[in-house]
Parts: sequence; C-alpha cells; structure tokens
Amino acid sequence: MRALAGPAVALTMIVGLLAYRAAHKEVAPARDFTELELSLPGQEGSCYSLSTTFIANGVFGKTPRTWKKVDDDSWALTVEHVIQGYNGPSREFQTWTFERHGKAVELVKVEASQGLPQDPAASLDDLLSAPNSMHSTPVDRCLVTGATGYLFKRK
Amino acid sequence: MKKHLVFCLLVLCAPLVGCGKLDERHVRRFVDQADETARKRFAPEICALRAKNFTLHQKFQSANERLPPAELDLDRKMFCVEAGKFARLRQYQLERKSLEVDLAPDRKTARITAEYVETLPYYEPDVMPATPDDFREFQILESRDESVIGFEDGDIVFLSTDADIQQSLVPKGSRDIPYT
Repeated sequence: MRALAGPAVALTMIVGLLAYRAAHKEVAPARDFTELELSLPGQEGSCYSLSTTFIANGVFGKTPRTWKKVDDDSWALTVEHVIQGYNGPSREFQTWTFERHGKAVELVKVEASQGLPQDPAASLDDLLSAPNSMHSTPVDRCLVTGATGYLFKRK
Repeated sequence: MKKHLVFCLLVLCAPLVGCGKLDERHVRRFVDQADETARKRFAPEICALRAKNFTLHQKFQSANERLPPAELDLDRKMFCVEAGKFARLRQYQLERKSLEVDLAPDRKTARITAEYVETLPYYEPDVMPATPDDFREFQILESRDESVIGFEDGDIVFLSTDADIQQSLVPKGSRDIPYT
C-alpha cells in the first residue's frame, strides 16, 4: 500500500497541473490560422501573415488582447488600451474579425472606438503600414521576384 | 464512540456555518485591507481582491471644468493592467474619508459607499516624463465609490465598483507626499 502512495501523489499532482493548465490556457487560434496571408475580401493578399502583421504592430507582448472564436474558420481579436486624455482616462479598442479563405485570412469586419479606422479597408491599410515600413518578412508567395501584394512595398 | 464522532463533526463544521455570510466587521476589515493594498500599489494583490467578472465604471471630471467628464468601463483584465501602471508611482497617498456598509438581506453581498482623497503626481497626457519626479503638479482625486462585494471561491472580493471622481491640481511644492 505504501509503495503506491508516492506514485499516487505524483499522479494527483500531474493531473492537477494538467487541469490547471487546461483551465488557464489563453484561447487563441492555431498557428496554421495566424500564419495565413492577411488580405481583404476581393483583393490580392498583403504579402504579410496575420502574425507578422500583429508583431509589427506590437499587438503581441504586453498589449491586452482577447481572441474569440466565431466559428471553425473565423476568429475575432480585441485589443484595448486605456488612454490618458486631458479630460481623464478613456478606453480605446479595436475588434477585428478574420475569416479563413483558402490560403488567406480575410479581414471581414472592424469595430473600433471613435477616431480609429472603422471599416476593413481603412483598418487594414493602418495595420499594414507597420510591416511595410519595417520591411517585415513576407509570406513565401511574395519572396518570388515580381510577386505583388495589396499595398506591399518590396525592400 | 458515536457521540465523539458527532462532536468532532460539529466542531469541524462550526466555522463553516458562518461561511458565505458577511457581517459589517468582515466588510470593514476587507475594505481596510483593500485600501492598504492600494497604498502598496502592488497589482497582483490589488487584482486578487477583484472577482473574475469584476467591472469598473468610472466617471472622471478633470480639473478643467470646461472639458466634459470622461467615462470608462473596464473588466477585470483591463483593471489589472491599469493597476500594474500604478507601480510606477513613487509618491501616492490614499485617505478614506467615509465608509458606509449596507448588507444585503441574505448577507451574501454588501453595498459599500466610500469617499476617498488620493494625491499623486500629475503627468500631462502629451508629455513623456524623464523620471518619476518629472512633474509640476500633484493631482488630488476626490472620489465617491459605490462597490458591491461578495464571495468568490470562499474569499470576499469586489464584484463591481462605480466611481465618481473629481480632479483638482495643486503645485508640486504645496504638498509633502513621502516617497514610498
């Protein structure tokens, strides 16, 4: 009986740890979703993956963000900040809804605070200015000479 | 033997009878603890006193009365991010001016109304301070907070807070706020 005590305690701890990790895991799309090329419906791809675009915009890291699964091929990301104005603190947010379409992920809907881009085209233009100015790494399709992309500026 | 067992069970369960019920003493002690935590400006402890579904509604009237008040709604996640920014302050004073406690009939929750005066450096929105000391005025925030507190996982926590804040600005040299 005593021989089983040690393994039983270890098993309990492992199960507890797994349960804790499962309960506290951040909900986010799989990498095969965020590695898709970002685009607008009806436009050619931007040459940047969703994750590259977010990294260039500083969306990862300490920025408060919340992913929400809309359906199997669609995710919404909310990014928010509290900004200090002369009249006091206020909340600024942007929610982007992305849908998987083949090898691309399309920005289909935007909700945002006043003063921020309100439609997908304006919001995507805003998002793409960071990877374009930094010359972030494009997706494989755009590494080929002569490849073009929506607003894409080759280095 | 059976009598002993029943007695042991009664002794063990006695503290649990009061569990899940608030009394005014508990509430006042909890608010004292929350105030002390705010004075320490340590975000994990501030956050730990907020429920998972905690919400803050804040109405802030700036010292410039010509500007409209700013309204802010935050969930716990954003509240905790803001609490983290608190740690950057080197001078901060919190004084509670009043506290009223209103227990719900089932004593599972309580509504608390408290008035506070906070004094802290005022950094102008468009100016990046070079050091924590790089400011010209202290802001004095007089607030009236209405909070609902209750139990979560056996602990007393804030369920929601509604704060009405009035800001005034005074020259830096007019207040002696210790560095902490």
